[in-house]
Amino acid sequence: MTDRTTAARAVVDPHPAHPGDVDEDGSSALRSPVPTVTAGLVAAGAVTVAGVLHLLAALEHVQHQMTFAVFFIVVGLVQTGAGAGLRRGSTPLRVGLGLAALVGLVVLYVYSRTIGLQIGPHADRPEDPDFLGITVVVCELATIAAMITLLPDRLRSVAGNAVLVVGIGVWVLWATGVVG
Amino acid sequence: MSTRAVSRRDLLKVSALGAAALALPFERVVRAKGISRIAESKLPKPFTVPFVVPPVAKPIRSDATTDYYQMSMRQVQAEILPGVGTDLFGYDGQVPGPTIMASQGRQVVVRHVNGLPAKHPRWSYTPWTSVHLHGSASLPQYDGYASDITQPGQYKDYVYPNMQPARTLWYHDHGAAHTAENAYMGLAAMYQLTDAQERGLPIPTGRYDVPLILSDKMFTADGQLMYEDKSHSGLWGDVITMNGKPWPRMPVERRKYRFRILNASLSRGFRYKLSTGEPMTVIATDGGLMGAPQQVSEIRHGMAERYDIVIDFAKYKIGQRVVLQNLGVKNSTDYDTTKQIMAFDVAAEPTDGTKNEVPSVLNPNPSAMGLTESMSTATRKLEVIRGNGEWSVNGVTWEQIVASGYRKVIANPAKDAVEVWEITNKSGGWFHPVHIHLVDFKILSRNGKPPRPEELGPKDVVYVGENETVRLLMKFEHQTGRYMVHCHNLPHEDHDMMTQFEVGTAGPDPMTAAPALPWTAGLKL
Repeated sequence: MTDRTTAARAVVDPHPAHPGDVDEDGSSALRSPVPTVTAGLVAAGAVTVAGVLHLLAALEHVQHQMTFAVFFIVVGLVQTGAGAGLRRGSTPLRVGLGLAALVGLVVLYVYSRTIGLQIGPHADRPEDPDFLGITVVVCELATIAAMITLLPDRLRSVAGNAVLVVGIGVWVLWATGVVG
Repeated sequence: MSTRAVSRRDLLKVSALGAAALALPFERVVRAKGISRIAESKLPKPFTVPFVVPPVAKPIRSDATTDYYQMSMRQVQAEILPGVGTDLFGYDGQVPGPTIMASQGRQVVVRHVNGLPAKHPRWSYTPWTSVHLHGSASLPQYDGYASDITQPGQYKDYVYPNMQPARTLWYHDHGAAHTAENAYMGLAAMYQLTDAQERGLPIPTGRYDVPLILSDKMFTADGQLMYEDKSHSGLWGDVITMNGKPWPRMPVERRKYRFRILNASLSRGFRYKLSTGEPMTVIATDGGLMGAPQQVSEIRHGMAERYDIVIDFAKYKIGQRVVLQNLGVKNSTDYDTTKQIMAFDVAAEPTDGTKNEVPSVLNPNPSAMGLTESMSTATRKLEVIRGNGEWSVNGVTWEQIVASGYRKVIANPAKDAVEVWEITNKSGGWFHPVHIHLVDFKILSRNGKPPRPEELGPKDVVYVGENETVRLLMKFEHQTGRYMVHCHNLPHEDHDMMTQFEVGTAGPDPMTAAPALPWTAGLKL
């Protein structure tokens, strides 16, 4: 496996992995790169799908909750625009802002499905998970994972750690009964 | 375009958030014993709340042919859960509304005033109404045509001919697009029509003839009704109410009782069984008395159907408790709390021993049940469908009916024609109780097999189960004009599994013949 993944990176990854990614003996699978190569393409594709699904969700909400519909339209347009931007290339600042926004959306999703938003048609209860929502979140998580790799090495580590802290934070809130 | 790889370390860092986003919402759903958000301590223990019977409406005046009633639909705060105030909509401010007692041949006129707020206090829709007397062959303009609405601040007088045989009817809201919310808020009540044939039978009557209006609810943390219909699939509450009380306890005497059971739930089907395993005797269905009583150990009960049953408590000892249980039906979400409905506590010897029988012949002339397939002049096929997120009948929605100027119909039987209607549900994911307005029908078969024993009486709602084709035989008698046919899972009806048929060609227009008028206090009926 080590040989195969190392070989794969040698072929497709022109950037050197940041120091410590691979053990000196090359044996740590955890530190080996996934043979997914075009992170920018993955991020662009996934965030575009998420954006289109948000626009579709807006159509569902337009009849009964205009606030939600507007929110979904704005998110959908920003995400599809971000997808186009990512295909052209982006700056670390934009990537960082995009990551923060996506992590915020995922946290908002967890909040709406566990505690419940205090506005809209589900003001009195959390929403149940549904196929459309899950698909959007999966796309957003894929975008987050791919976008982290677009950052320079030092920022990549910081951004990854920040996402990890947010994730652990959500679990701590669940374990202490705040969420759920 | 970057071609950097995603490392496993990156994936692991994201996975904490990813696992939380994907797992925690499901964990909440799986962990929930019910769907209500109110503290469990606010729910009463089963069989601790006393049973009540809805009040009987009193006419404001009567003349030689007609009894006149006036009711104002109002928002009220009432206790469903003990000690918890819940905002409700009620006919005359009561939930369930008052029962109207009618006799065959004597007309009833009800003035319904829409005294509801201009907007629902939490769901922000306009609570327009249209009152349907379910089971009555009313003229089209008095049938609760969905788009013949009465806005808040308006009223409408409904005229009910009562020319049909004795039966258990109910009146409930039927306003376009908001029937489910309005009925859920409490706009439902019973209407009992009797006739000489029924009065001549030795079956239980008076205080031994008891209405049971069954409905499931869910509650917010602060005790208000919660509305969650899962993208219009259905609403399945975790609190079972009977006549507006949760899991009540009814003291009974050691004798026979007639129970008129109405399933007024929006989406929940029930399957009844007595905890003692003893049979129940079904004596009447939606359209009135059966030809002969049917003894059954279980009854499957879809929304809007009515089954009149007799339970004989004489076989039990004083002090014994008999629980009406719910075994559940496929595609109704059940919780631990929905397995029990109410308890009958055998408390005393009978204080009245008369009218304590169930004769072997109940109704020698059941009109719909006397039809034979050879009388049929047409066979029509209806398919109940979900497509593109919308419910429809043969692909037709109420929106299309509205867009056609209310002219589009899916069938146009002649007056007094006898027809076979075949209703098909190809889905295994849901059942549909289909209600055909105006007519009583006979169920011929389910997927080619005979109907269930409790269905061997005249019906106006048929439980079309998963992957089933049900054949019905009916005569389009009494009236001409346009009438609705729809699913009585009310979120399905509202979105938008409702269409219409027209009997004859010269019936009154339900939209223009008797529209609602502005209400002024003191207006004489």
